[in-house]
Amino acid sequence: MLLEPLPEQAPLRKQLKDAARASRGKHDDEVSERDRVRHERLAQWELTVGIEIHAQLNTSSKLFSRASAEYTDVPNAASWPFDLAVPGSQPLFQPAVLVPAIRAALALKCQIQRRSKFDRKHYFYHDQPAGYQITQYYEPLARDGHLVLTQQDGLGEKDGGKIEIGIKQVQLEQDTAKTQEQDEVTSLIDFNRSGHALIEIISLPHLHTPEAAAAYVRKVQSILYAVDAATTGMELGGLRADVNVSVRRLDDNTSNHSYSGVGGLGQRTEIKNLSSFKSVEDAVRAERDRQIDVLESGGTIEGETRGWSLSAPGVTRRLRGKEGEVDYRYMPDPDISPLYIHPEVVEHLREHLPPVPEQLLDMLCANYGFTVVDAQALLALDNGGRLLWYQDIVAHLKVRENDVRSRLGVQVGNWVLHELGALLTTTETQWHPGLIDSQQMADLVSLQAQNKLTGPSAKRLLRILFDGDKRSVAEIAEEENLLFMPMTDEEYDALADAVIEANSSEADVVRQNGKQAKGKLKFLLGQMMRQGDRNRIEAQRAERILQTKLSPVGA
Amino acid sequence: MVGLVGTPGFCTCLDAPGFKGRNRQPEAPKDAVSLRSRLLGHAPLVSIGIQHDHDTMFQKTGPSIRRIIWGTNIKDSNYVQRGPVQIKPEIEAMLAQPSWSVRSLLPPESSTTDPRVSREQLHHLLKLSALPRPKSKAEETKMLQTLDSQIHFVKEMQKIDTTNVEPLIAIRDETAEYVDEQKITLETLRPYLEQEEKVGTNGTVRRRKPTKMIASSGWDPFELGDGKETRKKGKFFFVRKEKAPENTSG
Repeated sequence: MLLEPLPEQAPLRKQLKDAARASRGKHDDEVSERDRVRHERLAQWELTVGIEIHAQLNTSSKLFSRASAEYTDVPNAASWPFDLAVPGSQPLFQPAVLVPAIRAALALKCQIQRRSKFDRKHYFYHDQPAGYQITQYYEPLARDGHLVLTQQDGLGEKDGGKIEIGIKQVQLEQDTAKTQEQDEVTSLIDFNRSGHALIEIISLPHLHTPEAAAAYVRKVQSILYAVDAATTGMELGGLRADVNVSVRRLDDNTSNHSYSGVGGLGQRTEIKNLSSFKSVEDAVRAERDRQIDVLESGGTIEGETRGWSLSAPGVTRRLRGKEGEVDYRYMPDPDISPLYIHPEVVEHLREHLPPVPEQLLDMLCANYGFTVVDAQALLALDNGGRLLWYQDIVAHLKVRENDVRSRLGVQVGNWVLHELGALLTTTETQWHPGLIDSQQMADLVSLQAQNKLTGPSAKRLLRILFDGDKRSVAEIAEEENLLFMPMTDEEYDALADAVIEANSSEADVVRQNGKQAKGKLKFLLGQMMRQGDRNRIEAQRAERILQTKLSPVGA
Repeated sequence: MVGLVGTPGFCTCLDAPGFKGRNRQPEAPKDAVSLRSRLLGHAPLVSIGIQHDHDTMFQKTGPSIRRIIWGTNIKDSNYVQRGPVQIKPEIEAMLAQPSWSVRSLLPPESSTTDPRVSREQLHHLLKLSALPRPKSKAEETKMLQTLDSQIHFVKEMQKIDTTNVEPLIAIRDETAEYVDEQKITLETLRPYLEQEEKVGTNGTVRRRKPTKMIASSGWDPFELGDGKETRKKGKFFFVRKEKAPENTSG
């Protein structure tokens, strides 16, 4: 599972429905006194958050060496001398990293720079063999992008319906080696990861709630996954977030810090290395509360680096104060030529950019008749696999039926999402592409659409397929007697006569009053439905026969 | 330097006898950099620079070129022959006295201004560079003085007007042709785009990942060791750290 695993069907749809309901403005009536006070207190402060995301690029080689970047279980088996900063080794830029990097920047709506340069960020640590990290501080690969968050992405009420988060830049940089603590004094080092290509995505300080912060990180991860730029998620350590948090009193003009061109902010602190969406939200909330506490009691916020851990989610701890502040002494790297990118590369990648989830959602709603909630549910399943299977099924049907696509789309969606979903949940099975052939599903839906299967029969057929039956749907329907054999006209006739005879008084009323006697007609219809073969009778035909038989004379 | 010499004005300046031979000792003080001694060393470059700027004049080779470029036909015995160049005696005399020395960029010996760098700053800088602290007060004073003069030197450098001049990061070919050669094109990326395959009908692509583990180039980092395996535990490198002192402030 590459992305954060989501619960199957019912709980997910419930979550989405709750979110949709909340967005329509309904809220819980019971708000406790403590919450009210807290709410009032928070209302006097504005929280501002900026986030830096580091994501491992999905590429075959490292950034400056030809060593393979594919995961390997054997420690220290995938490095070249430059990755260990062996004296005399030189960087060799690997163009392979540009494919995912440029795609990521384009998906985040950035401007790709024709020329970008590499810089050294100096600090000493055992996982940084050269004593510096190669990054792009002064002239990054891409600048000036943005990302839109809506309530569908998990925004709370406080953020309003929609916010746009500016992205300052996207830059290439190296990853460090992996460290494992063997005991209190010994650290084991594996250099396989040293020199891997990362992108760092730096947002502008445009986030104002903990929920928005978490939603932002979640959305960035889903975008990166969609364009195949970064396929290892936060849960596996492929994506890490550092958050910068500051608060300011709303009625106060003394906050005058400015970060990335946004002014009027309070002093910020940094919380590093958060590795799940929930931890981003919890850490931001904890730090906001801490800063408000300090400022309300007359103290000041120091610009420091803090840490957060799952074991104490309500607090942040100080890691490094101002005196321990690291001076990175950024310096252009003289060993590395500037990176020049031909515009045709950017245009080609832009033209063939894989769709991001928003686009797929729009497509499902416009072309397949889905509701937003159902579309989101479908997209979230099986890393996009269920969507593709669904589209295959509809594609088979299109060949067969000359029908309005959206009507069939909803029908197939119902089967794929709800009927199959219910089966998977009750049997606690995981879906996989080979579970039921898309052609079989198409046949099933087709038969039902032609009224050759009733609802209940179709469900039975689905269960047969789900249990692994590989016969064609036509065969199964035949052999299991599932096909709908409609009653003949004679049978309707006979049944109608029987019902009319048994209920002659009601029949007379209908004969006399014609259309005015609707209720009685329905009663007679109900009798026919009850007495006829449940699996074979069709209400419409029954009604027609009755109407014909009971039409007032001369009508 | 080369470009400067290539200008026509400078040409005539060199067209002078008196340019002494390479073996002549400069009369200037030892640590001064004389313009003349630099010219001596760069005599061949002088001609190259001129070729670039005066291509149309480059029609023949040998002494006749010199005649065309320098505009003189006379082999005056007063002229000093320095490689392919003949220097007039007046010019030679002028060049004998250096007009500038790098010493002008250093603080005067008798400077008594307050030190620009404090002890704390020095220790901070040494810590940032993972260098040890000075072992004695004398060594520390010497370090502070050296830093002082270096800062003075840099401040003098900073007086130069560099408006609209892009900082030099490395000596590299920056011509348009070279930049074009270096550009990443679709051709460069084609092999990597071919490692991907389309998935579904929405335009999604996925890079094909190898099913078996890829070993490295065959380079074993442990070859670098001293053979005694002092830094290796199994397949890992390891470091030891000092146990952090107990403290309650987190």
